[in-house]
Amino acid sequence: MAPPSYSDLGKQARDIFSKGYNFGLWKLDLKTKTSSGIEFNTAGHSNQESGKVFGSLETKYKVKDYGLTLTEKWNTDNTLFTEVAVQDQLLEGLKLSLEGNFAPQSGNKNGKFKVAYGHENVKADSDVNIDLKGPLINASAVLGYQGWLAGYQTAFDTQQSKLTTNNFALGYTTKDFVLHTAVNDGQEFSGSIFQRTSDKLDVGVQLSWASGTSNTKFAIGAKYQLDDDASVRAKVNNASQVGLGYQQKLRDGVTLTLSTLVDGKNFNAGGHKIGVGLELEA
Amino acid sequence: MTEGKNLPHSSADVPFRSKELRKQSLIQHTGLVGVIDEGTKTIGFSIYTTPDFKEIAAHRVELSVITPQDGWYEQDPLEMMASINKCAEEAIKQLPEQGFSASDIVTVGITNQRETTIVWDAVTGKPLYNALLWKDIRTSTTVEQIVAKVQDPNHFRSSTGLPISTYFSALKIRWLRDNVPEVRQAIRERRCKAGTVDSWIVWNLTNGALHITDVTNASRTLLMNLETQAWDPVLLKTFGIREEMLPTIHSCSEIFGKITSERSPLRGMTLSGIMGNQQASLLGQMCVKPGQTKNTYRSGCFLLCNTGDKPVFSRHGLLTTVAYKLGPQAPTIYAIEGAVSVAGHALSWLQNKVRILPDSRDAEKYAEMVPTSGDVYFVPAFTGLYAPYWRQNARGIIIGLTQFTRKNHIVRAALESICFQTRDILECMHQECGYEINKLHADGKLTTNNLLMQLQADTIGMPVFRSQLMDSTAFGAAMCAAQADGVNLCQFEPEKRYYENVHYDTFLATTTDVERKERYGKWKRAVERSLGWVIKQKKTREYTEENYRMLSSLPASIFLISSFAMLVHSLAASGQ
Repeated sequence: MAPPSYSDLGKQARDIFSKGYNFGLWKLDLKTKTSSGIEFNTAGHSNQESGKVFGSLETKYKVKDYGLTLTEKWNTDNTLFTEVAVQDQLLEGLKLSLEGNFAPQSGNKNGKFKVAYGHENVKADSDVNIDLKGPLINASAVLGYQGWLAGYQTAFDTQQSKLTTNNFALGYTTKDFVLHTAVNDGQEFSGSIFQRTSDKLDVGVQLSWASGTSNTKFAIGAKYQLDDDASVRAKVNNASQVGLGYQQKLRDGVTLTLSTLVDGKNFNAGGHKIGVGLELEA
Repeated sequence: MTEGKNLPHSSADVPFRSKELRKQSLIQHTGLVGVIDEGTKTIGFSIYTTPDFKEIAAHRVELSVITPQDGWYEQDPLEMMASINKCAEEAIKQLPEQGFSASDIVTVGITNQRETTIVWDAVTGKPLYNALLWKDIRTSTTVEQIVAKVQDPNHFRSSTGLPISTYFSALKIRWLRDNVPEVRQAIRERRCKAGTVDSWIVWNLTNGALHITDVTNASRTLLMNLETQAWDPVLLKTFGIREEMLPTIHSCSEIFGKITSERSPLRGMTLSGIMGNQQASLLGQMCVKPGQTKNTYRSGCFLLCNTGDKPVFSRHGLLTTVAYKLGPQAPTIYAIEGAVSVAGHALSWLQNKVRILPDSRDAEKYAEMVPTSGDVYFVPAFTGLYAPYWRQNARGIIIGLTQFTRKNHIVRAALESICFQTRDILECMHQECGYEINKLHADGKLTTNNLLMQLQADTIGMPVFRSQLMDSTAFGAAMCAAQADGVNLCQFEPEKRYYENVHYDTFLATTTDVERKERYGKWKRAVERSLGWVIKQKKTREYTEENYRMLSSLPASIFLISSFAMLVHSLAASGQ
């Protein structure tokens, strides 16, 4: 089993703080899959404050014979996103993908070529954006051994001939416990802990410090599974912002998510947010 | 020309300079008002007494214009601030000899060239690019894009009073975002501020504490709704501009805050007036009744006609704008405006580029050497024609040359072109507003040219009242600042009170209707010949409606086609 990608390090703790919350949005997700293997996904949300609406349509198709995955996505900004990915063909654990972004009415277009390789003790990722003037190259690697993880991430701007990113990470992971620490560009220091304290309760802690501004952030969050169909979430940070969430499976394939953000510093002044989300899956 | 009543020929003749009257006058003074006057060519600082609004100190310096390309006009925003501080310092030095000191300055007003757009970094406080001047036309490609999207150059006229034109700040901000990498990056990082010159000045004077504008400047951006007097969400979306980049819109006359910049000699003083320069001139010439009209003669000319408390929307290309709003609760007064983009600039062109005029200040002497222009007509459409034509593809023309034509005729024709362009706009204003315009107020540096004033009266067939203030703009801004709520140096009551500054020279028409009609008809024919000169380069991408729709339909079409293809393939594969 390969270690996770650099961007997935510390994911369990981050998910405690991000999954199940959708402050300020009305949200709808629809997923369906045909018997012949095509996935159709529709997503949309409306911002309660500004009234802005965003939506997207996605079609995904996997050709198993060739390890090929085709993804086509269109959104309300009239942007077309295309991805072609090949997995486990040239080499076991190797994934190649090409993705593109196209908005002809504004002339915006982007492209990216990605490579990912996973082996028992190593995970490496790289991507190059397609830019004739000089691409931006991202690369990262993670080594894993007996639960210990070490990672490095870098980016090189060939246009400016400059290394623009220098990130290090160190972590320890078991089935019920994940520790993650990182140093970003020699200035930002962060750490996180994830603990599954029981079958029903997950707890996460996040801590970060920026040496340039001496800005410190601290947050603690938890998720509690009430029963097979319902769960509650809570989180709080050192800015006195309290997040609460409730998720209920109404029936097979239908999930309702409610959440709220309360600004503890200005309790009487308002500025609090609520979110409502509905997921439909068939 | 008729001499104005009580006209002092020089400061030595002013009666109150005798000791007794001076002492009496001092007792009545309620405080001093300073005005920052940031024009296109000059920056000045003036100091006025209240309630009589006599200018007792002033200093002005010239501002350089950068023209990296044909049709591109820029100025250095840092040079603007340095010049303002210099002028303020020099003007304050003149106060002791008048018996005052800097501490007597109760408040400061600002009046500025409008539409000129500056973008800067909110963190460093440095400009991200030079100021794009109001007359810059590099945004013509941006105009094409936006017009292709909405299909009508007058699409936003009913909400903003403006056509989609290279002139207005929204298109300049959009051009900067699309073409300057530093600007795009600053916008992405949410550290970009954008605004007109008044916003830039206030930002610097308050060390970044205030990012504000007044309703007259905001009405020139093509982003403000005239009814709500707030940034319009539809317009912000159309131009892709975030509201947080833009200044907060205020009235013209209220206490905005205190000047805190250590670099400014005005530190500690209150800021209480902001007006676009042309609106300040309208106020300074007491055009406060509907139908009253003024023209400011400078490198360009700007005519404004007061239309009262309702906006009048033009069908012939005049702009609807806010004239003034003298307090947060005061009624908003509107005006209709026409611009002559090339006025004094034509004389500078004859001097500097064509070199047939040794000094543009001698234009009157040169032109007077011939009794007429010898049937020569000069249409100075250097960057296209503005109101009432709005034709970007017009270019300048000198027509009617014969073997008898001399340079004096061409100089005279240049002066006459200013008068004819003014008449074009007055005719249009009369049609649109329905008010009888029976006289024209005039101010600005070019009005020192008596021949120009006489030609103007002859061309329009109505009296021209030339303000004896060379610059009623600063005077208007001073009144605006002085009467603000909380400053209360005086009340603005133009019907009730007598202002010492408001004296006029009068020029009466000496032509007949038939003569005017004939000459104006020839002018119209000359204008027609200047239209359609610029033919689009093939390299330029054509933003037509058809192109835009076709491009917009591509993503959805490709999505549907590829989804269908995937479906067909999956059914075929599962069928095997």
